[in-house]
Amino acid sequence: MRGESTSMKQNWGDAPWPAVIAHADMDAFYAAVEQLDNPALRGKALIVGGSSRRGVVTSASYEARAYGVRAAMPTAQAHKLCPHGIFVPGRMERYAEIAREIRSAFESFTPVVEPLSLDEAFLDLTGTQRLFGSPLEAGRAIKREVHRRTGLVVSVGIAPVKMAAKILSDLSKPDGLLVLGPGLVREFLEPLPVERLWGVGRVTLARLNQAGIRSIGDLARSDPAMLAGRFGSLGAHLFELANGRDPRAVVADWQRKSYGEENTFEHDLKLDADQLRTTLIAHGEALARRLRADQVRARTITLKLKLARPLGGGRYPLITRSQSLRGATDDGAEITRVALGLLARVGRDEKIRLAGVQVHNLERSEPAQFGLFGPERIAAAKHARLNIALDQVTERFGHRAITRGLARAEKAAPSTRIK
Amino acid sequence: MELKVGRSALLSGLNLAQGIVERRNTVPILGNVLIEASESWLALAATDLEVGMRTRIACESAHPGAVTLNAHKLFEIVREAETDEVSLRSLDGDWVEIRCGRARFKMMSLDPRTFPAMPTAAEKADAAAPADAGRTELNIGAKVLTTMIDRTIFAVSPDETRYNLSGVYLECPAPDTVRMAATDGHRLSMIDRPAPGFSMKGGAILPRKGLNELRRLLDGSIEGDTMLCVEAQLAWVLQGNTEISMRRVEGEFPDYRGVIPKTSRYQVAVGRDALLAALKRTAIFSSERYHGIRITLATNSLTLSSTSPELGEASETIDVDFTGDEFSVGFNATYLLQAASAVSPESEIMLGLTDEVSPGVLTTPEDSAFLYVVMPMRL
Repeated sequence: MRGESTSMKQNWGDAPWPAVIAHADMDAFYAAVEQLDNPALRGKALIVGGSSRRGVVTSASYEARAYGVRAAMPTAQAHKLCPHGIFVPGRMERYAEIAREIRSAFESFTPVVEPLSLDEAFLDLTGTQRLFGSPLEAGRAIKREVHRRTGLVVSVGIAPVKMAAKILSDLSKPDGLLVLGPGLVREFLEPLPVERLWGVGRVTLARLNQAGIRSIGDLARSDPAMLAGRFGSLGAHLFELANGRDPRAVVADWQRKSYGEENTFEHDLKLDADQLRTTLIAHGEALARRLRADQVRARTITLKLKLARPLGGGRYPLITRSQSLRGATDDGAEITRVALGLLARVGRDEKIRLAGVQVHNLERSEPAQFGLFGPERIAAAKHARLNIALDQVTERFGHRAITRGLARAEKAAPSTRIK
Repeated sequence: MELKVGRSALLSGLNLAQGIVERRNTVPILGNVLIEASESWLALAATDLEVGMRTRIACESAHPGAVTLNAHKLFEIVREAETDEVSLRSLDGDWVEIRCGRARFKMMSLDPRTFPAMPTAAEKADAAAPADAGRTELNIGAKVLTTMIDRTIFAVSPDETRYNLSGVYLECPAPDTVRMAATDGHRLSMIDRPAPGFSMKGGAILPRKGLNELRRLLDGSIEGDTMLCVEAQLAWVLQGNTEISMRRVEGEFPDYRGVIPKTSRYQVAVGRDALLAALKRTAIFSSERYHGIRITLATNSLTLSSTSPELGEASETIDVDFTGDEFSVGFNATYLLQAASAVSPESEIMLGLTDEVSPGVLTTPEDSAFLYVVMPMRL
């Protein structure tokens, strides 16, 4: 591991930390895993992902980044920028396997871990002082533990609020650790461009710029009434963020509100396409697996479709349809049945580019006594038995090892966990 | 009415009545016992309309007559009396005077004509002049019947809305054999015993409360034989001078035969006492609401474990003869505790398990006619 590039002001000690929130983000995660597994790739410009038509770079090693290659960049462009780069397809199972190890490393510091994706998470370290020492010491320990367990490098930002922690980890890369004490958040944010704020996308940025707001400091000094007038509740929220106030708590998986799986298709699909059905089946199974792993069940299921017809500005019309069940479920067949039922009722003659399934209204899985009698009870036991078997196979061989009939969808495009 | 009666005989009759009288007191007369005195006998009766008892006690009667008195208060009076004899006497109005030694009590009687007594065995015997087509008689040792009740009644459903599960099913599965089976929808407990001459068409569901009272009655005369009569509406036992009758539970008992597994993938033998003690200890940390407990089988070990998120966890390992892949299944600890308790001390229990969702089977070599089937719990 390279030396710690810790840069911070050491004078936070006098102000008490209302909360200690760490954002940990793996450095060039997929590329780093490839280099870890194959020493021949180490030190090379390595680009992961993007062999398909809509292919984009999912990860680039720092050697490739030196040529300007970035994640989410179309593969073709990466080829131009870095013609001698080594292009490899992703291996999601392997990344997921390592991600589990990383997750378990995070969880050795706090039970309140909120994953944002496979390779980044918020950790609520509030109250862990006596166990792990100061925020700085805890940050060092997290970096050490992740490296010890996986051989990979994580960058960590620690602040009293989520939004600042995330910006810090990003600024600290590669192999960084930045800690920002309370009372310094506003001062730290002040010079940063406003798009650094979480929630400021392309559209909002353009409108903020129009209003003469370029830095976070500009936003913090704006008239809240003007912001509320122009941006509604988003304006009020952004104003708070810009002033260093972020009320959002770290929410662990087991406290979360919803789970989602979605993917964008290589080719736009008609609503009755087989591939769409198989994709939804795969999403249903993936969601159920995650629910069971976290020991929660969901009562509401939402189908999300993005139409292929562009609205301009990179936006597309979004359709969502929801249905609530009488009893909460963690069964893939049931989630899929509802999602397909919702799809059948969309009834539009349009093509879609993205399909997702979300589940909400979560409840903890309570112990359940199986019954002796009744056909529906026997069916329930069969479902339970099948799900146990599915989870065992998945645990051993990865999530592509087994799917229900029809669910060849995961070949179509890797699904993304969106929540 | 005026009579003198031995304290201990009256006390045991009243003791039996305590379990039967209506506790909720919605119908006042059901909280009373009926006392009918003739010249040398008194009849004591109690009922809640589902279950009834009637007993005859020798007494010395000056004036025959009938009264009904609050069962609980009368029981307390007789229990606390220090004399060998108790006397009862009707006063003016509906008052009844009870004397034991120098203690004197006055209680109000409710009109005995409004007492809804169950049909008595004597009346039933008279009515059954020719062979009554609707009647089945089971002649069986009192001790055998007691064992059968003890090994089934705990599995009866406490849920009174599932009335067809609210009693023990009695039937004749083969000639000269009697079977009792009970289930609450989660587990099934079943026992067979030889019963020469017994045959019965269909089965009868006998209410839990009636069997409990019958059980209490049989406790007093455990050595002899007894006869259980099953009629279209009622079942009853006449034991000495005392009779317990109960209304059969209406409804169809579920097809319990279909849920008995023919085989189990794993079989382990474990001492009943060791299992029971370990269950009691491990259950300390099973949750109050679900009583979940985990059984894990690994090479030559059976481990019981429980977790309470708020309080802590417990585990205990028992040596068993087992080879195979490690495997684990959850159960309601109470269901296992009750079944193990029902098996005789110092005997062995065979535990048959298949997977996390298939029924577990508990048997004992000591009584091959006993079978307990229990569904797992997802923990």
